[in-house]
Amino acid sequence: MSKPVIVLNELTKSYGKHRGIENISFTVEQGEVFGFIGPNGAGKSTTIRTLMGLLKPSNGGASIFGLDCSREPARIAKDVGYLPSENCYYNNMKVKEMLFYTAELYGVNAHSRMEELAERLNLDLSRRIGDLSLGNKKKVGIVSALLPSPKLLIMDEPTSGLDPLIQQAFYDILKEENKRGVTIFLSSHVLSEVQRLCDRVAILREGKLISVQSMKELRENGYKKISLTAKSAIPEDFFSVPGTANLEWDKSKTSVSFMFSGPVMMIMNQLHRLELEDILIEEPSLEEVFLHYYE
Amino acid sequence: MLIFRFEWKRKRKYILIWAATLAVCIFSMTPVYYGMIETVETLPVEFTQGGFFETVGISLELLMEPLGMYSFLTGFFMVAGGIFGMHLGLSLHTEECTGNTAEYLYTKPCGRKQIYMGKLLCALAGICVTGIFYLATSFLTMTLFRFGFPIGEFFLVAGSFILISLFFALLGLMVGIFHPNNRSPLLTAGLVVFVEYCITSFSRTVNIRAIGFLSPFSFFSPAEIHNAGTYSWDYMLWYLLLLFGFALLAYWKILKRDIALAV
Repeated sequence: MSKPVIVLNELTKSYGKHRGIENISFTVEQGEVFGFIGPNGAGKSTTIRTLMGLLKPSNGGASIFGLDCSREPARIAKDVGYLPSENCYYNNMKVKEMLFYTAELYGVNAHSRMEELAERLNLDLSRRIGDLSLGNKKKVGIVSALLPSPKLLIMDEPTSGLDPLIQQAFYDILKEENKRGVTIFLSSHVLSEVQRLCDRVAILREGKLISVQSMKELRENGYKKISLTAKSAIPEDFFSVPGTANLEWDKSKTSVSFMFSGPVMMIMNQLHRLELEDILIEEPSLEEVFLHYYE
Repeated sequence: MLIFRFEWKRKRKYILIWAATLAVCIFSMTPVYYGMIETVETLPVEFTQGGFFETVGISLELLMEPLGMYSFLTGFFMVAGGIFGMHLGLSLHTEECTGNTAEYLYTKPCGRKQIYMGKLLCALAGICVTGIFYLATSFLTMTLFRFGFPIGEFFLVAGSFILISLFFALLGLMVGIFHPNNRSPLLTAGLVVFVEYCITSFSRTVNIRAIGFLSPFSFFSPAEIHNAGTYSWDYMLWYLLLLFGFALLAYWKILKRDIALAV
């Protein structure tokens, strides 16, 4: 059995009146690609910044490689490549200078790795960071995180600002890294990205952990999206059966779509009472599944 | 040393410009001021009887000595040195926060202790360079224009410039760590140094020595150096306590604090 690389234990960070995160607990196993999803302001970055030792927890704790994140961030950082959500690089430096500085801070010689990654991500190493576009600055961050060949990659909104071609190159790099045993922890609100890359996902909302599920579980949680059209108007309370959510009616009240989770026969018996013109039962998209969690 | 080398590279130009400017100023201003007075009688009555020189730590007796006018000028250059030191110390930390680079630096394997030491060393190196420039140029100026000055007293007066700069550099480092989101470090440095200078002037005007403990400018009065031939031991003890206090508080805080993002 693989050992956990990241362990969060009742992790809490409060900022006085502002909401932080509350009692977040989960583990990330070695070699896993773990997604961390939530709407803006859910607490994703706060959790990640606490993991990186930038913020001191108000309560609870977190560890990476068995080391306490708030006590030994420097030891942990040796094996972690971190990509922050904001661009945070020295604008007056050239890309190459900054990446060499990163390599020096990690104590590695990464010249060939730098060249290789820059080529794959189409990054010009000779330009001044302050002159780069948002997307190119993001590439600098990605190369900087991957440069020391870390055992763990922590990435906060890694693809924001990247064009689709570079996103694809980035996904390929991540898959290669994962193949050679690197654990990946990434936050995102781009669900297709999570769907494509992750093995498991934690869902965060208003600073609280809603659920941790494998992608398979998430899709197989029993939710079905049902869209139907009846010959006559359907009474509004017709679908007030347990397990029904996200009802969306049309104006004439003859068409409705909703999410359902529960015994199939229960909803079938209910539908049987309607004179149906059309019906579509499908697997909901991840967006729809998550919307359900967020509401 | 890596952080120090990086910080030094970033600050080198700024430090050298300050050092060169101060050196040029002391070299060009000293002979001009010496030329303005030959005897006390040549000074306006308001200056000699109004207590003006006493508020800047100079006595009329000292003013007529070979080191007098140099000490008078150094009193003002200490203000400039203080602003330089405090701005250097402050900006070493505030620039990381306001430039949004703190998240990069503090997530690297160097750790907070090394970051602190690197920045502290950079501040100390900056003070050393400026101090050496000031000391060397002062010595050259005095040798050229007022040969025969007492060497020991000269080094104490010129050393005051370095000690004042050091004091404000460490104060700046500490304040920068406590309030890293300061977007106007030069204004802050200017205000703090000016207020400190006013406190010293006030303590000398009202002749209450205890007030002088609130400002480092009081610790290095040229008149007292001239009379005693050394710095006052009680002021020096307090000065050293404050220096260690600033350095320790800053170290404690950098280990404990959250790394803030710029707002």
